Amino acid sequence: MKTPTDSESSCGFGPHAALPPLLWGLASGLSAAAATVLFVFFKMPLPLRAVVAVLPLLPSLGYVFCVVRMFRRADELQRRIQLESLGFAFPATAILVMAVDLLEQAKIMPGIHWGWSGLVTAMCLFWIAGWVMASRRYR
Amino acid sequence: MKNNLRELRAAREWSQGDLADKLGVSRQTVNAIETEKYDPSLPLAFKLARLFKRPIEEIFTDAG
Repeated sequence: MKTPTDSESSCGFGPHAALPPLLWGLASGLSAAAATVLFVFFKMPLPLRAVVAVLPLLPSLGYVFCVVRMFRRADELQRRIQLESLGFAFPATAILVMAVDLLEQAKIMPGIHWGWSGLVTAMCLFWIAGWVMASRRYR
Repeated sequence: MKNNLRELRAAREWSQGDLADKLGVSRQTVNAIETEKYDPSLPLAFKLARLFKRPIEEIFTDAG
């Protein structure tokens, strides 16, 4: 079985490893924002609309590839920390969405159109919060 | 689980980073094992035993 070398283990979930997925995620968000702007301000024929709609998925695939690679290169404690942080982020996001929806139904707060970007942002923030909490436990 | 990893490492004058490199894990993992906040998997425990040329039960003891 291949064991991670020094350089690989530092690529697990270390600070150096966070840059590539961060850049891919940023590229994904920016390209999605650009696509939205194009849809709002320009009338495009159907084939071009389809291309513009699908293009932001390419950096998103890069992001997924980076995250999977980080998991593969992580050591056992890093994997446990990530499992705990994702185990926190997933239900926390679900609870947040449910709470906001119920408050909207009760007309206590105005309707918020989350969209995918709001949901993804909430998931990422909860993931980071879970990551920090789990890391502290094993410090 | 209790362990005497810190003493074994100190006897060889290795830093946590040195030991992490030899084991192929992060320094955080070595620190978490030494401070007994994390119990290593069996393969990692065997790796430690091989590295320090000691039986596993001599490095790790049941805290209960």
